[in-house]
Amino acid sequence: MVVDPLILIGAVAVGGVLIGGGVHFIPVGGAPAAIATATGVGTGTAMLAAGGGMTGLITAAAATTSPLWLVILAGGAGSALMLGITMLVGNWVYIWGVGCVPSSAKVTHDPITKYEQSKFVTPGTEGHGIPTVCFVSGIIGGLLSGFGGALAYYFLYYSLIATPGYAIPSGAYVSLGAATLAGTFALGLFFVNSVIASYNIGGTIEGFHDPKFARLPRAALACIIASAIVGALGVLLVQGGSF
Amino acid sequence: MVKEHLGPIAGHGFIVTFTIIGVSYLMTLPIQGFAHPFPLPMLAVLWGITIGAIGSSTGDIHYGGEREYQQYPFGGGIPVRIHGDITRKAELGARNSLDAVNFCAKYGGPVTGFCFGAIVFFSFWSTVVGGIFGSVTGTILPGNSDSNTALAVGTTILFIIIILIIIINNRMEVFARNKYGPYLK
Repeated sequence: MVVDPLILIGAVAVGGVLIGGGVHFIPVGGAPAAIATATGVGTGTAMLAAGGGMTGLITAAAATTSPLWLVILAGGAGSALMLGITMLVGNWVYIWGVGCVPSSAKVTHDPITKYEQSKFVTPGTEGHGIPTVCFVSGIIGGLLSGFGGALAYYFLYYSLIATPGYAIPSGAYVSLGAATLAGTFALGLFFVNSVIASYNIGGTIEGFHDPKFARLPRAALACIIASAIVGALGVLLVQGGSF
Repeated sequence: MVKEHLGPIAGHGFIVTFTIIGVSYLMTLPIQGFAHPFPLPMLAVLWGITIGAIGSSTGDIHYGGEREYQQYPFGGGIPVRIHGDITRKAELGARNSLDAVNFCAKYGGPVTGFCFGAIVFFSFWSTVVGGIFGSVTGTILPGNSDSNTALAVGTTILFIIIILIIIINNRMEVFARNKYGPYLK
C-alpha cells in the first residue's frame, strides 16, 4: 500500500483532532481532585491523556499487520481500558480511603443514572470522586484518543515501509524500524494535542456535561492546525518527502 | 536527606525500572500472543509514561486523602474553607509524616500497583486470549485472516471488560451513596 503524502497529512490532522477532542471528555480535576474537592481524577489533563494513549498505542501496534479498522479499534480499546481501570482504582481510594461519595456539583442530577447530586456534595467543594456520567465520559475520551493515535500510527507505518530504508526484511512480517519511528511519532502527536487541549480546558473538566465542554470547537481548530504542521513534518520523515 | 531519603528513592526507582524492563522484554519474545512489533526500549518508554500517569492519578489522591481521612467524618469531602486547618494541624499536630506513610504504604501503594498490574494484564488479553481463536500478528506471525479473527475477538473481549468496569464503578457509587448517605450539616 502506497500512502499519498496528502493522505498522511490528513490522517495525522484527523488523528490530532480526535486526540484533542478525546481529552475534553476525560474527567480530570488536577490538584483540587487530589484532595477530593473537585470531581475527576486527581492529575493533569495531559498526563492522563498521554498515559491512556500510550496503552492504546501498544495494543494498536500489536495489530500492526491487520486492516485499518482493526488497528483503530485495538487502539481505542487499549486506551479506554487504561482510563477505565485508572478511574476505577481512583474511585476505590475516594470511597474507601478518603471516604466520600462520588458526586458532581456541576449538575443537579447525573444525566445517565438520574441520581441526585447536590445532597452528596460537601459544601464549599465542586464535588468529589468519579460519578457514572464522568466515568462514561472518560471511557469515550479514551476511545477517541486511542482512535486518533492508532490512525496516525497506521498511516505513517505504511508510508515508511514503502521506502527502501524501512522496508519489511525478507522472512519477517513487520518492519521494526518503521514501527518504532511511527510509534514515536504518534507518541509526539499525543503530547502536542493533549497539551493544546489542556490549555483550552484550563485545569479541570468533568466530561461532556461540563459547561467547559462548549469550548471544544476552539480546541478542535487549534488541534487541526497544529496536527497538520506535525503531519507535514511527518512527511519529511519518509525519506525527506520523496515518496 | 542524603542519608535517609535518597536510598529508598533510588531503591523504588530501581524496582520500577527493573520490572517494566522485564515486562517489555517478555513482550518482545517470539511467542504466540507476545512478539510485539515495538522494540524493548520503545515499550519501556510507553509503559513508563503509563505508570507515571497511574502513579499521578491514584497516588495523588491518597497522599492528599490521608489528611482528611482521620479528622472529618466519613461521607464528605473536605470543604475549601477549612483547608487552612489541614495545613495548620498537619505535621505539628496529632498526625505526622509517619501517618502519611502508613496510609500510603498500607492502602494507597498496593492499589496503585494493582491498577498498573490490571492494565498490563488485561491489555494482553487482546492478543493472548484472542490468540486462542487463531494465530496472532507480531514480528514472526503473518497478518492473515486467521490472525485478524483472533485480534477481532481479542478486541471484543477488551470492550466487554470496559463495559464490566463501568458497571462495577456504578455499583461502587451506589454502595457509597447508601453507606455514607448525604452530607450532614
